[in-house]
Parts: sequence; C-alpha cells; structure tokens
Amino acid sequence: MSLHLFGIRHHGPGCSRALEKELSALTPDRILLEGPPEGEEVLSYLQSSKMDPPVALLVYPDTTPKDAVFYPFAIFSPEWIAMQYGIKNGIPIQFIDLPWKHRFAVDFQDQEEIKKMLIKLGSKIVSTEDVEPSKEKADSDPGAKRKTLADEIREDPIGYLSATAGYKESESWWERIIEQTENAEGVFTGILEAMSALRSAISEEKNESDTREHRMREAWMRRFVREAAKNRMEKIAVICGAWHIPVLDLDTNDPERKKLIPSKKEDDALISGLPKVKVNTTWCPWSYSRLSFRSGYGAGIESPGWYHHLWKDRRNAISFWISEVARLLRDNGIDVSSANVIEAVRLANTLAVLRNYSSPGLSEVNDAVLSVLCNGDQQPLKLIREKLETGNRIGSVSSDVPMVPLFRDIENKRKSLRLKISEEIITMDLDLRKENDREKSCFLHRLDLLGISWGQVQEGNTRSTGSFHEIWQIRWEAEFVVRIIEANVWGSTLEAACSGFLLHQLESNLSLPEITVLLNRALLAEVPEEVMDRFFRRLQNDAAVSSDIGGMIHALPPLASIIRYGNVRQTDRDKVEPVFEALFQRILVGLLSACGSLDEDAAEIRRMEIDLLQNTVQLLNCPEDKSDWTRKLYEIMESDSVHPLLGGRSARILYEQGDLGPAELETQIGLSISPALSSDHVAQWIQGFLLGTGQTLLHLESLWDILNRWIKSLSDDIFLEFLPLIRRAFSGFTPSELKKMGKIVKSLSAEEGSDQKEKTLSQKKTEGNLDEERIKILLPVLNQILEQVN
Amino acid sequence: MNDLANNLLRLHAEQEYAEELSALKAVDDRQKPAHWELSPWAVKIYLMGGKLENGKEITPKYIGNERLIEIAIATLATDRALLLYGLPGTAKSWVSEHLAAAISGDSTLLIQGTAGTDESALRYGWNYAQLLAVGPSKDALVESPMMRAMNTGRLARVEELTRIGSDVQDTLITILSEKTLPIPELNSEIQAAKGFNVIATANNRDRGVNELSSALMRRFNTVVLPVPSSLEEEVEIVQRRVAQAGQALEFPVEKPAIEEIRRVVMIFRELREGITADGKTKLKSPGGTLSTAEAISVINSGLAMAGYYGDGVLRAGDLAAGIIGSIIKDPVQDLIVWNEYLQTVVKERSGWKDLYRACREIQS
Repeated sequence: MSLHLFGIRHHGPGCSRALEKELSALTPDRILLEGPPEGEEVLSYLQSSKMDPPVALLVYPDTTPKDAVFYPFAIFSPEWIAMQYGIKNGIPIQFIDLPWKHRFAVDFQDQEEIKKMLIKLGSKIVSTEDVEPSKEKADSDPGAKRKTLADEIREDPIGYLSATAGYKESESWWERIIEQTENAEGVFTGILEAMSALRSAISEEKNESDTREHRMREAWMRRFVREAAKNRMEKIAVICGAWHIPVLDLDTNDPERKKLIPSKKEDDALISGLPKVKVNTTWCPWSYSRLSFRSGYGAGIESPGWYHHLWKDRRNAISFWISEVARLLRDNGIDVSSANVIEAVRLANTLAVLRNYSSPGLSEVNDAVLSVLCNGDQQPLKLIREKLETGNRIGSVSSDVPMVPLFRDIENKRKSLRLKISEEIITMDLDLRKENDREKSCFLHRLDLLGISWGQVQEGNTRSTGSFHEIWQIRWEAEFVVRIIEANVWGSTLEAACSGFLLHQLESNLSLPEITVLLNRALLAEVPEEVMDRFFRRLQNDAAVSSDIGGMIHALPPLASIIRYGNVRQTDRDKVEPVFEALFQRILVGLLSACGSLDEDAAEIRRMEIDLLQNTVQLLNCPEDKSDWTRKLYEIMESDSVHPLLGGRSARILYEQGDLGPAELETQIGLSISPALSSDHVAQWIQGFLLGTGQTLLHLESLWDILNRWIKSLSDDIFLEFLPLIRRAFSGFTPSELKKMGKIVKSLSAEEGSDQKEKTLSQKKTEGNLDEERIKILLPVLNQILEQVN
Repeated sequence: MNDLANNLLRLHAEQEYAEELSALKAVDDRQKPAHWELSPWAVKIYLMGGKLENGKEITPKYIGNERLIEIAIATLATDRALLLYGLPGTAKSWVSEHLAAAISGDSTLLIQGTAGTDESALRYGWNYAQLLAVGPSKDALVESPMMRAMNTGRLARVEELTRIGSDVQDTLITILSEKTLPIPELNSEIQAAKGFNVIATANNRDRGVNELSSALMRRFNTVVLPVPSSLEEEVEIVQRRVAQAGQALEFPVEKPAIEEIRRVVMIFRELREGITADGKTKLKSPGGTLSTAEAISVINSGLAMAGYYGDGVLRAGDLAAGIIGSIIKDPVQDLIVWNEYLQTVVKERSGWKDLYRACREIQS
C-alpha cells in the first residue's frame, strides 16, 4: 500500500495544476477528499454536463435549513479537479471529513462563534478553518493575552511562513511559490514538510488550544485513511487542506512527525458514539463574487476571476488578461490602443524582474495597467477589480438535483400562509392591519425583491399614506423554481436571501434614484436592521458626492414616513433621523442653484420635487426643518436667477402656509409679473403660482383680491398682452373649478362696481330703496314656495 | 570643490548625495541597462533608502509608496517615457531629479516648461552669428538639453510639461516614438543613444492649461504621486514648516498651537479626500488643490493675524478667513461644498463650535 498526500489550499489554481499532473501520473485506486461524507450521495450528479462551476456542495440539517453549510468549488479548485478526475476514470471517491450529521448535533463552542460571525450572511460557510484555523476569533479578541508562537502560527500559518521567507504580505509567499509556479514538481512534498514543521512547533509548546472539533475532524480523517489501507488499496490519494496533511501521514518514519499522530485507540475514543441529526445534501449554483474574500467567506480568494483566467491559459495569461482589461476599459469609454496593451505587458514583465519574480503576478499587472492604460487614475482599477478580478460568473447545476434550502424555506412559509400555487390569476385584498395579511404582503414583497414576481400590487391601490389595503394579483409560474435556486446564492432563508441580495446590490454602482427605489422595496420587504443601516449609510455617502438634487429629494419621503409613523419593524428612528437631516441640509444647500438654468420640462420636474419636499416637511412637522425650509423658499422666491415657474411656486407655498402676508404677496406679484419682464417669464411665474388643485385656490379668498387688484392696475395695452398668458395659466383646472372661480371673479367685479359707485349706492341699499316693479315679479314665486313649505 | 559647494545655495542631487551614489555603485553587481550608472535595484535603494551590505546607510529620498517608485524605475528601464503626475508639493520634481541623478549621474539636463517655452528649448537653436557667417552647419547649431541627452544616452527632464504650449509639446512625439530628432536644415538627424529617456512632471490640478494630447499621453507611463498618506505625517510636515517660517518672519506669537494646525490639516484632508476622517461621511470636494503647502500658508497668515491684531494666541477666528479663502476658489460650486461641510461636519463636531461660529460670522 502506498499513501500519497496532497496538501492543498482551497481554490488554489497552482495546487490544482500540480494535482492534475500528479494524479494522472499516479493513477490511484482510491481518492480521499476533505469534505462531508454526506456529499457522496450527490457526487453522481457531477457526471451531468450541466454542472457548471462555480457550484457549491450544500449540507443542511433537515429541521433548520438556515444553518446550511456550503462547500464551494470553482473550476480551478483542487477538489473539483480531483472529483472530475475520479469520475472520469471511474475511481471511487470518498469524503473523509467529520460528517455534518454529527457536527450539527454536537454543540461545539466554536461553532457558536463562527455562527455569530457569519450570521449576516444567513448561512455558514465552512472549510475556512483548514488553512486559517481561527483568524477571525483572534481578531475579535483584541484584549487577549500576548500571543505565543503557537497562536501566531495557528492564526495564519501561511502568513507565518511568508514572514519567515521575508515577504511582507501574508499571502504573497504562497502565491509566488505554490500558485504561480510553472514547475509543479515536488510541490506537495514541500507543503508536507513545511506544514509538519509548523505543527511540530505547535505541539512542542504543549498548547492544547486545538479545539475539540478540530481534533475530532482529524481523527475522522485518519479513520478513513486507516480503513482504506485495511481494504488493501494499492495507491491511495488523499487531498486535503494543507494544515491537516501532517497528521494524516500514517506511513511516516520520521519520529518527530510520528509524535503528531494519535493512535487509533485515542481516535476511536474521541469519535465514537457521537449524536446525530438528519441532514440533506445537494448542489447549488455559486458565484465568484461570493467566492471572493470581500464577501466575508473565510477561505475565499482575493481574485477568483484572475485565477480562472490563469487556469484557462497559463502561458499567455498576462497578454490575454491585459487585452481583456483593455476591452473592459473601452466598453466604459476609456480609449485604449493595442500599442498601449503591448506597453503594459512590457512594463508588467519589467516590474516582475525588478521585484525579483520569475513572472508577473496580479500586482505587477495592476501596476502596469494603472500606469499605462489608466494614466495613473485609480478609478478604473475599481471597475477592473469588480468586473474582472472578482468576475461575475455564476455557476449552474443540472435541474434534477434535490432542492435547495431557500426553496424549502419558501415552501414552508407559503404553506403556513396558506397561499395556493396556481397558474390562474388570484386577486387578494390584504388588510395590512391584520397580522396574517401583513405577513403575506411581506412574503410577496420579499419574493418580488429576489426577482420572483409571483404577485403584483395593483396600481392605484398601493400603500399610499393612510391606506391599509394592498390589492395583489398572484400567479405562479413554473420557472420560479429556477429563480429560487438561483436566489439561494444570496442566503438559505427568504429573509437572509433578501439581505444578501440587497447587500450585494449596495456594493454595486447604483445611482441615487435607483437606491431610493431599492430602499422603498427593502422597506416593504421588511429586511433586517443591519441591512437598513447599510442602506442609510450608502444613501448618506452617495448624497454627499451627488449633485442630483432631485434624486436626493425623492429619497426623503420614505425616510420621513419612517420618522413620522415608524414602520412595522420599528427601524430605529434615531438612526433614520440623522440620515434624513443630512440629506435635507444638503438639499437645502444645493437647491437654490439647482433651480436656475432649467428648460421648461426640467423646471416642471423640479416644481414637482419642490412640492414633494413641501409635503415631506409638512409631514414631519419639525419646527427647525420648517423654518430652514421657509427661509430657502424665500430665497428661491426672491432670487432672479431661478426659473420663474419655481419662483411662483415658492410664493404660493409661502402664501398657503401663511408666512407671506397679503401685502407682501402683492409686492411679490408686482415684482414678478412686472411688464419689464418677458411675457414668457410672467406666464411661467403665474403658472407656477396657480398650479395644483383648484380647490385650495378657491379657499384663498384674499388671493383673488390681490390678483384682481393687479389686473386692474395694468394698462390696456399690457392687459391685452397678458390676457392669453393668464388664460393659459388657468387652462389646467377642471370645468367645475373654473365655474366656481368664475363666480368668485364675478362677485369681485360686483363688489368693485359697488366700490366705484361709492357709498351713496350702498347707503341706498340699506335704506331699502327697492325697485317695486321688479319685486312684484318675484312675489308669485315666493307665494308658491311658502305654500309648499306650509 | 568643497569651498565651491559651501558657497552654493543649493546643490544638485548628484553632488549632494555623491557619497551615497558611489557607495551604491561599489556594491552594485546586478545587471544594468545600457548607459545606466546603477542597476534598477540599486536605483530603488537610492530612492527608498536602506542599508547596504557593507553597512553604509542610504537615506530615503522619497517617503511613501515603494510600488510607485518601482513602477517609475521599471518604466525608465523599458525605454518608455515617465510622466510624474500629482498635486503641487508632492515631490514630483524631487523624485525626477533623484531618478536622473541615480540613473544617469546627471540631473541637469533640464527643460523648464513655461508658457514661453519654444521649440528650440526641446530641439535646437541657432547661433545666428555663425549661421550668417557660414550658413547652416553643425557648428552653428545650439544644442538643447534634450539633444544632449539623446547624444549621450542620459535622462532628460521636462518640468511642468502641461505649461508648455501644445504645438511645442508635440515636438516630443517624434522624440519619444522614433527616438530621433530630425534636423531638416542640415538634412540630418540625431539618433538617441541607448539609455536616453525622458522624465516629465505635470500638475494634475491645473486642468486645461495645455492638456496633453492623447497622442503624447500614449507615449508616457503615468505615475501619480499622492499627497501624504496619514494625518500625523501631514501635521508634522506643516508644523515643521510653520515653525521655520515663524522664525524667519519673527511673528510675535510664541508657537503655533498644534491643535489648530491639526484642525486645519484635518479640514483640508477631509475636503480633499471627500470623506470625513472617521470614514463615516462622504463629502464633496472643492475645485481648489488644498495642498499641504496651502495649509502651511493658512496657519502662517493665522499666526500673523493673531500676533498683530489678536491676543497673540492662535484662535479659530484668526484662521477662519484663511480657511475659507483657500477652499472657496469658485464662488458658486465651492461655496456649496463648503457650506455643506460647515453644516454637516463642522457644526456637529464636538469642540469645533468656535470654528463654526467664526466661519459663519465671516460669511454672513
């Protein structure tokens, strides 16, 4: 029997390349892989050509799918290579890690901490501890006692090796030596020796800080290795995280290393009689963005896209990569010529020489791209980072794999809400004051957020202020299943998936209005507070650099309604208020200049925004905001540079609020509608002033007086000139409103008539000087009326 | 020589650091590009500082990101021209001088870019007496530093490239791509010797002076030199420079209050970077540079105000006018930026009320 140990780093393309070579040279008769034994059930699905990495092996307890655990694999992951090799050549594959049916059942203290750490993602992702056993733990505990050497090694074994080799960044040594090397020979022997040295160093310190879980896992792995040996396997290939390799080396003759390996008896004692729970296993699609470090995945890699690229074509990787960068930049409006690409490749090569590397790595390539293609501008690098280095590849799984936890969660929820799956359109009237209906609404909104638009809210019945009803039309479509499986990348419960999705969205390039729309949807979907906090932060940040006043204004109403009414989740008002206040102040600062240099359409849009702002301020009813707002309205009204439509609007709002007295208004009208101004200007001002529902206008009695006096003051020529403009300003009202207005105007002119004829006439009236002739005509009618009353 | 050196106001880099350069040369056994005095590795040590095997200490010439210097050196080694870009006062000319000193042993092949720089500064001029006497000939030609650099395979430096008129800038295109300088009058040309290259510096805040054409830009690798990376570093630079200026001008103030310096630097940094120091709030950036040098001058004028008109102690009120003056360069856009900053950051920050009030007072 011969035991061949391959210590790898998860998702290391260099390891994969070396492994591929070694496996085909070795032709083992059994492959032992670090992974959950439960996964063997679904290994057969890998034969399907529809399994396109990145995919993840997913294990979850039957009762609580939210505890799901993922083992992601990319096309360049060593485990993926090993599995593909095994399946193609018909070599039996065994997963040798501690089974999750036990791991879920045993209450490890560590697990709690990991759970806490990853709770935001809504799921646990393992295989992190193998290379970096407890990095996060140490980070979160700054007050801990001084680190011993063992702690240091345990925290970041590769970093330790890296530092020993004189590298500054913790990963770069491994990158250089293992992942980017062309010469794969002896890599695994080297890894075995390095890791053995590290683990011996730790064991010498007699530090018992290896967690119980960790020891159990390694014991379990050894059990499989021993079993395979007992079954007379000739050549056994063990592929496992580098950290574990030394303790699996049962064949070693080195006494130092032998000490690391407990006896079979000890192992059996540790792992016998463990409790069990029922678990399910399946495959689900994964994405490169969730494989990357930045998504909070511990064993993640910095640049999946770059590794993918290296894996596809090692030889021409640099030229191809920079060409791809050039294409991306061109698509985004940055001119890049082929000559530039050539120069960038040359610079990358020279930099590698200067830094004593045999070939350029990602950092050399990035430096070259920065200097040659981007003219030193850092901004495009972010784009490259997002689009190429991380990459936006999403894998797919064949449709016959068992269902994912998100699906299960949605199904459970659906059943408990008694929503029927039907291809017919069903209309529902949800009363949001009722617990059950509100939950239904939230459920549907959440699905909608994830792109599973099972139901649609009927327009006109949306939740406007004060309305508690939502009319939904729901219709199930078969393809929703696929979408749910896809959405599972974001999280394994509906709530977690919504959070994951929104967090992802918040990372990307959204414009302010897009964020506002998303914010509204997020509020409806009642996502957790952490996510809302991120929203507020993003909103605040974007508003700070944005000059899109309109976008900011539209972001206010949802915030205001949270402050005023609170929402179901009771999102902390204290958190919303500063965001609102900051936005509001920014709007006020920028509003005046945003009201100038507008064409008619743009001015109309701004006018609606000002109205929106007015409503928001009124809704909140905060005296400070109100006075700031009033002051700003005055500024707009009095400024010469703003569009007249907006000037008129401001005057109207001020007048309606009572800030502007009739006398002041008259002056203002006089100023704004003076013959010195162009007729277009005047018309716009009047329109701005009068726009809106005629009802409110009807109740502003003094307004009619003022308008009347103004019109009277016009000379005939000017009156003729203004007449069509005034007519136009009134054209927007409904006929009945116009009729009423007409009445008011008539009564005004009647009063005027009386004014002009002076008091003599009115005196006559009071003295009862009546026209008897005319009264006589009235009498029969009066008689008739009186008779009827009697 | 020593007397001469003592009498000079300022020495060239290769004179001042002659000792370090020769020490580096003595231990430098790595491959050198043609006509380079030092290998690229040694050049890097010269700029970034370090200790040689024989114990000789090399002082750092540039304090900052090592990678940028590596890019610069690698660029020169690939015979591409190097463009050092950055705000005023970010050590562009300094780096350029030291690169030339280390690589060519000569930092004097310098062309200062101004609006009046004409073609003859980049190509060649004529000795008119000779020209009239014997007609166009090699003897009548007056070499430019560029021509000398091409002949001898050294580095030519062009300072403030964007200040040179576009038509003159374009002269560089042939030089950089063909590495030749045609002399049509003599029907001949100069072909650059190996080792020739150009280091140009340009200021990226003076937009629109004479923006480089894309044809020219394409021939440069660009390295952007950033402003000091940390608040502490910048405060220290400002403090030291202000103390020097205070001595020279004999301000009647004892010494600049570190707290006030810190505040000014912080305001400048925050606005420049568009984010508050705690990284929580984003901000708009004004159009002005807000360089370290400007912070120094704000403190200086504040000191003068405090000394001559105030009570001798530097206070917020003495600084407010200077701060506003250096931030608001554009009366419309920058005013918005500043007001936003005032309302959302200065107003809320604890202990900054005095500054807030002082600024409001001036603006109202």
